[in-house]
Amino acid sequence: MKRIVNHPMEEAGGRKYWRSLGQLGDTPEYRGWLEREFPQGASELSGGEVSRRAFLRLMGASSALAGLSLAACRRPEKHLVAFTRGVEWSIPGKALFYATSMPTRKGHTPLIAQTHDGRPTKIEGNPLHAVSGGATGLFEQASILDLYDPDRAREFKHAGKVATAEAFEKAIDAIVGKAGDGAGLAFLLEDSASPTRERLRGLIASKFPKAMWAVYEPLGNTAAAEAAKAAFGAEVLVRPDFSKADVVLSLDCDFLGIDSQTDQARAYAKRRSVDGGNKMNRLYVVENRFTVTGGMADHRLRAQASQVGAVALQLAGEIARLTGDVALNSIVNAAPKTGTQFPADWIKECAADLAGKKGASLVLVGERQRPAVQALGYAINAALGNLGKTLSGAKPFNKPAATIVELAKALGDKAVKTLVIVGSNPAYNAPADIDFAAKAKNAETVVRLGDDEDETAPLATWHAPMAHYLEAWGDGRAADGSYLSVQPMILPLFGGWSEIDLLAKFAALPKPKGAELVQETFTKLSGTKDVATDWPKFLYYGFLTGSAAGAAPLTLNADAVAKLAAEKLSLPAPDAESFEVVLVSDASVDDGRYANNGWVQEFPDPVSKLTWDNAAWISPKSAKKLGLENGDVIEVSVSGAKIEIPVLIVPGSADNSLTIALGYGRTAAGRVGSVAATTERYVFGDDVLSGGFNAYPLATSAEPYIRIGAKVRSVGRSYLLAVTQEHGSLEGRGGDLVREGTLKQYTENPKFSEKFGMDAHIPENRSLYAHPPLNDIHQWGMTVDLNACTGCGVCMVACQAENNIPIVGKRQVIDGREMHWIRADRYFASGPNADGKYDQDMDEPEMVSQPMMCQHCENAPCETVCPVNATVHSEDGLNVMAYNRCIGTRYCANNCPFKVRRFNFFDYNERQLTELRKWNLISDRGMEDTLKMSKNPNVTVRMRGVMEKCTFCVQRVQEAKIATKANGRDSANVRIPADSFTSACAQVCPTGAIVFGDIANPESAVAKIRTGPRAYELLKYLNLSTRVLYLTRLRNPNPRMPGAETAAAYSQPKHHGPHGADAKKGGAH
Amino acid sequence: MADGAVSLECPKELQRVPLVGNERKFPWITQTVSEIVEGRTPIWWWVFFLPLAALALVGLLCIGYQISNGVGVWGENHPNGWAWDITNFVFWIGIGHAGTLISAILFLTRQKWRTSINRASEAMTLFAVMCAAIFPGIHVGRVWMAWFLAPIPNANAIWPNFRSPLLWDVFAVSTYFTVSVLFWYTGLVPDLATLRDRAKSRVTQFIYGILALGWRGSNRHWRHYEMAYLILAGLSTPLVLSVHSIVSFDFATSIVPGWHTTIFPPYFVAGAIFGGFAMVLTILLPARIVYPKLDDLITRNHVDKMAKIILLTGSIVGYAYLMELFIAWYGVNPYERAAFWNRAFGWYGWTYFAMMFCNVISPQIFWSKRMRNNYVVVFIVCQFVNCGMWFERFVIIVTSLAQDFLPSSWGHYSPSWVEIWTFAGTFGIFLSLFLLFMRFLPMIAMSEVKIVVPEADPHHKPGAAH
Amino acid sequence: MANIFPRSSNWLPLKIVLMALVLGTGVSAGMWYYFTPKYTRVGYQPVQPVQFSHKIHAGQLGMDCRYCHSFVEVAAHSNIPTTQVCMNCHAQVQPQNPKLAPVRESWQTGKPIAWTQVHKSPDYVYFNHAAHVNRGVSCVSCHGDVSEMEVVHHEKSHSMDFCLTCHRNPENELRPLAEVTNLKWQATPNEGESVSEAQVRIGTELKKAWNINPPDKNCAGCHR
Repeated sequence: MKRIVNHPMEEAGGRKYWRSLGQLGDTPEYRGWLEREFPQGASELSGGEVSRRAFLRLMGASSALAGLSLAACRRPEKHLVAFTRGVEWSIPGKALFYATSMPTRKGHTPLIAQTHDGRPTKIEGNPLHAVSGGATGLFEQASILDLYDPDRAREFKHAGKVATAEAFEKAIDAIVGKAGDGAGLAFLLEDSASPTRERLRGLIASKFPKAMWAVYEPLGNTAAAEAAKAAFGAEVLVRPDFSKADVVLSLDCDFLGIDSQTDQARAYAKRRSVDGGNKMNRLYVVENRFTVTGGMADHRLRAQASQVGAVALQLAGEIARLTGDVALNSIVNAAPKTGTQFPADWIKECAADLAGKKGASLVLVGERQRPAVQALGYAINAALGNLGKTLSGAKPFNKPAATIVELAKALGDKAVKTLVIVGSNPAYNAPADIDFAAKAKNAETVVRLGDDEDETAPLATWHAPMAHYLEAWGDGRAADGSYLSVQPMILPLFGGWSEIDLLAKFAALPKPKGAELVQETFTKLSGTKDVATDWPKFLYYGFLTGSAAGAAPLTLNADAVAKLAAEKLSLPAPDAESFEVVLVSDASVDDGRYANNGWVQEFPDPVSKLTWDNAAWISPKSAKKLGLENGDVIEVSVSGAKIEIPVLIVPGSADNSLTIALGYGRTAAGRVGSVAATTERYVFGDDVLSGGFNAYPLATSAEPYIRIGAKVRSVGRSYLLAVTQEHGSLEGRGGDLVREGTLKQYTENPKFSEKFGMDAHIPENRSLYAHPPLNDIHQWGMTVDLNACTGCGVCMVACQAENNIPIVGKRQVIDGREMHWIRADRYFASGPNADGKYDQDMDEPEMVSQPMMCQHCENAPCETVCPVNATVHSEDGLNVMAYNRCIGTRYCANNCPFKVRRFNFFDYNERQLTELRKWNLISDRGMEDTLKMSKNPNVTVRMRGVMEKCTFCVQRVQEAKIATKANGRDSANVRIPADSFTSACAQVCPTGAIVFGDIANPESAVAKIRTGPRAYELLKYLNLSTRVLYLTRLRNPNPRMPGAETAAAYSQPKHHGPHGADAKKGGAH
Repeated sequence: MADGAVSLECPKELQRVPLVGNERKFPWITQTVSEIVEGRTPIWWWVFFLPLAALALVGLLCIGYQISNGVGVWGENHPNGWAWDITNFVFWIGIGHAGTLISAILFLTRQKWRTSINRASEAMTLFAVMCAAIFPGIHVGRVWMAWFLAPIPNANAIWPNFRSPLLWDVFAVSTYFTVSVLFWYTGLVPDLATLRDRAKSRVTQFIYGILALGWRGSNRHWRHYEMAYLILAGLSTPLVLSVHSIVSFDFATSIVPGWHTTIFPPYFVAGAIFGGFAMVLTILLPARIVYPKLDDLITRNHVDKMAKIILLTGSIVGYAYLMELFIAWYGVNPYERAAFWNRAFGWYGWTYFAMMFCNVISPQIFWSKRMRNNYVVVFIVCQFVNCGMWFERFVIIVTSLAQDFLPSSWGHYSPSWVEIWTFAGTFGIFLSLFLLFMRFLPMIAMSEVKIVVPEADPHHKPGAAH
Repeated sequence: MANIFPRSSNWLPLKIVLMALVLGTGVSAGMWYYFTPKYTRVGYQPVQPVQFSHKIHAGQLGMDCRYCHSFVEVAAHSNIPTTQVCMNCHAQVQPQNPKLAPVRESWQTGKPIAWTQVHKSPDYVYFNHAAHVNRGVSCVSCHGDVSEMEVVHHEKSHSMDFCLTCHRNPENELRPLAEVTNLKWQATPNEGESVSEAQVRIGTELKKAWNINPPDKNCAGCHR
């Protein structure tokens, strides 16, 4: 959907707000317009197709199609509609970029939002800010789609009936009027790092001293806070510093995966590299299931999550012995003895390694572990002298608030008359034991501000649509405490209110028209004298320089920890029959808040490659014992609570341990995320259900994440799971595909992996075909450093957002038709053990992941076979795809050794997923207009029947070329400056594993990297001369550790061959 | 005179088996063949025709559905970009080989026995090629853009990619079809004239009259006819070999392990002839049952010869299968090895063994003359061969694609109901067309058969034995 | 046996063949012409909501194209002027001219004027004005001499062929940057040199000097 400069009539009106925002103005004209144009426009949105179109015209981007006269059949009459007045900064067809930031559970992420004619279309990290460094996580990328989600709450509703914003505002005023000293008034909010919100909270508190302010995050870090408070005697945020850590031990902490933060992942990867004179760090991981972090580990110990405490204790003992640290020793002695013993030599060597790096080691305990265990972790760090070195503290963003448990109690005691729920969705995700939904009925009035009319909406007397962060003014703090701006890219599509708008009303302020409240906070925080210049600067850069929080001192309170350990560290030894249930946040939908986002739903889990659902991960052994296959539904019951859920066998999981991701089984998430949303129906056969299974019933307020003593039985049903990678074993092809070695090998011979796999036997090549002319001054290429790649898969969604890649729905994924241009291939591999045996059950495999996209072969097999010249080679070394020339023979895909070409089996952009198989003549056509608005106008939206694939973001390449030429005018120098732009995947990669650029330009990063010793070509013997090179991955095993010698054995030359010894080892399937 | 007669006699055991049984004469041949067309439409014909036509219709509906909704209604996916569609294409195009082989090559090599079966097998060829042509046509994602394949100068100033085997296919198949049609029709002309002359009603006279192109059987006509026929035979002989070689290039020129094989062209051709003859017999044996009189034209001798060819080509194909395995083992390439390992023991292993049994084992029974002469056995074996040849293409296409280089992109394939009914539909089309042919055109080349009866010998003495 | 067909019908096949040949040629020739942009696009001259005359503005008054199409040098799209731009002058010049009524109305109501689009490239074609006008390709090369048009019409075919002709031999169109918006400019011939030869000479020089090499085989140059 290339943007055409057609602006229908209403456009100009719809446009004015831009300049108004631009001038941050509150002109009467603006206000007048707001009243006149927008709310009415927004209310038009309700219901039918027609009005939605009307809405689209407000936003612009549709083209008016006039008269159906005979002439029009041949040449439809189109109209070019310019503004009446020029709009500041806006040049038709040119993108504008704004700095903003996105609120997440772990603080705000600094972002740059790209807008085309008032439509935000792509999110990038803010390269100027340390926390983002130009990269983002998955949810930031996907948030664009959330903005345009047609299922968002669109109406102000009173008792379920549509009301107006005015009525809502009046109602709020009434409540505020009646509230008195605030007794009976309670707020329930999500965790937030917004100083303005905290400021309003202060105002509200002073106005309503008796009002209750509760904050709930189902996956919040309350345990961490508790542990920190115990260990350090004060409210403190503990932040690890990977740049200083030579040895890292993660105890059930997925700091590269679901618990990751961009800057930490980057810092870790920096220390992981062997380039630039860095000394490679070493990572030990103790976990119950494979995580992205576990995949990166040099040594991994499988242990039930409930036993991680015991591991920590055993380790603490060792370290106390080695360091002779009295405090730690006392804590260990205080703690009750645990029954279980873990491999002594593993613990011993690990402890020795940590103790050997005093002050440069780091022990991380997952924030879903009990406070006692986390506190013990802090104690170990203290003993290792890491406090203030690799572990630093920072002041928490907000004052402590009431918990949902307290709120539930108050509700139960009928002490709450008015409950104000902002964002949070307790009806779905509150701990089962407090029975929130029922208690909430005791409140007379429930005011809810929510993005969706979700599970909580029915509780609400008043339900108001919440503005998306791209629609509203706001502010927040980044993980490092620095102060960030949030500015709107577009007026609220559905007239929603922001959190600040609502709280302002309760603080008895007028509903803010613009940024005034945030500006006030900014003035206070920055202490600026000159708001007029500093405020725009703040917005321009997106953050306040030098506002990062200073490090708070960390001194261990050993007695408190000992006390905590004594009381809370008792860990019953597991028995062979019962299971533990580990509830984790989901890599795709987090705690469920992103459930209605198609991009994340179809985003395969980095480890299990499961899409559209969650499942109970189980180890191959346990599955065998219970006679379970993938997809068999089991009933899990823990002390009364029961759920049914299909199992998914994942190698490397601890036995008798079920890992279940939270956030699924939503009943009112919307068309995409709700359970039993049939993404596509089998013509003869059952509907395909998706939406997963709700695991919150298993969570209690006391034990929210790890439950022990669960009973599991098969219910004899099975459920279709959509896994994007059927086969997880490398089939002994590691040498050609994923090369890996040890740091030792590398230091002995940097080029050690040069002749892995078939490369040892390649004869001198005689090519029959003449090379395509590669005579452009630019030659594009890419490198992927497998040593840095964690397999997180953010690149997949960044690519999806940049290149208008459609989602295809669960049924299509099952059929193997997902459209991702870049995949994160994940292999479970295992070399022979010391005694040459292979790990049949894949209990202790190594996990490697490999981003796989079009390799842009110079001798591309796809090009020679295309009968219509739809895919050809460009002079600058791209394998280009002319969609409109393609007739869809799929021959190119067959002949592609990497199978990276993607075919539009259906009209995914023109048909709802439920309509795909209905006969076209009788099925509905067309997509929601809001979804159309999310498209990147610089990339063609592909129709059915054409082939597509990674283009190296050719639109960016072309834009860069054109810019250079246009600016160069009559200059002969048309070379694009080195690394002046990059592809979407490279830009978003948190660890900088993907590097894209001009290999013909010696200054460019990629040109340097691809000549390095670790660079290799996939399937080199095919003489493809690919433009994507991979860099051999390295592990840094501890030589004294048992099993060290078998690290990365799978890809070593000696085991290779079609049925080489490690072939047929099952893998994920 | 008696002596002379005796001297002309050769010993019984050395006499050739007559090509036409019971010393039938010209009038009998004309009568027998023509009355099939002239007689009233028999009940059995309707009994077969109506369901088959219905089946054809179902097939067409499926095609309509697939074209309007997209290839997605089939079971294909990544990595299996091709499956039943191309399997069926190669299957049908293969069948389309027997006809031209019989009419052209056997003609040039003066195999007189071809005369009584060439007409039917040529017709079968045409119908098979029609069915084949459907699949490459509809398997593309955007049928309405298929004209890009034709090298027409256009406002976009682009040409098709002449390096692509798929394009070679287009030319090969269309040429083959055109020549086959010409060949078949030329052969028909004299017989059409016969039908015209025998026709009772004005309408039939008129229709056959037009079709006969004013054939009068004059000496001059015959001279031109013989010349044209010879030239066409010459033209189509190389085609018999080229078409399936080129079809095999679709695979042989690719880099997919299991496709990338130099042995494909010869073995595809052999396979095609193999399957083609099986299909000829599949059709002619029942025809002999419904028209018993044809026994004298399509004799045991013919069936026996065709069975021998099936045995020969079947063994060639078997040799090719084994050679593939040997090469895969001999050239150490692990990917090739894995590909062939998967053929036999991979996800679709059973299809491989089905193929092996049908194509290699089952024809071996034809070493015995008794079996060759037992129509039931022959018919059954032919059915095995038909299945086997379909499986062969399935094995080549799907097992190779489903598990190629990167284990991560391996994927299962299973057909959807649309694919299944489309394939069934092509059988409907094929057989109903053949029934129409039997009904309205002379199923056996009268004029040519007459040439091979003793009567045609200029030295033939009327009334004498021969 | 009586002949079914008259003797004359002997020639029928031949006649039919001839007829088919003639028909075939005719049809393909027809398609060739009437179904290509040469016919479907060239000459398209819709009625515009405002009787704006390029002839007067660009021709007689000699206004520069870039006065109204102000972003042509920076953006992919050559923008249509806003009502504001018209009013800049027409607030004073001919403020009462009835022909300008729609413009004044638009200015007062804020409702923009819906100009009818004349030149339109398909959605999958990414033409970029900036890339051309900044590198010596004149407006006239694709739009013809608009300064002579009372009402704008589609002058060139804008088919892919049309684009490629120039992309393959840019020297035929290149001119000094100063002359890009001078629709009347012609290369000045040397002694015994035709204008077109002069154009090729100058074009070749510029091509070399400015390092002009437009994508001629690279689909991605225009299709993304």
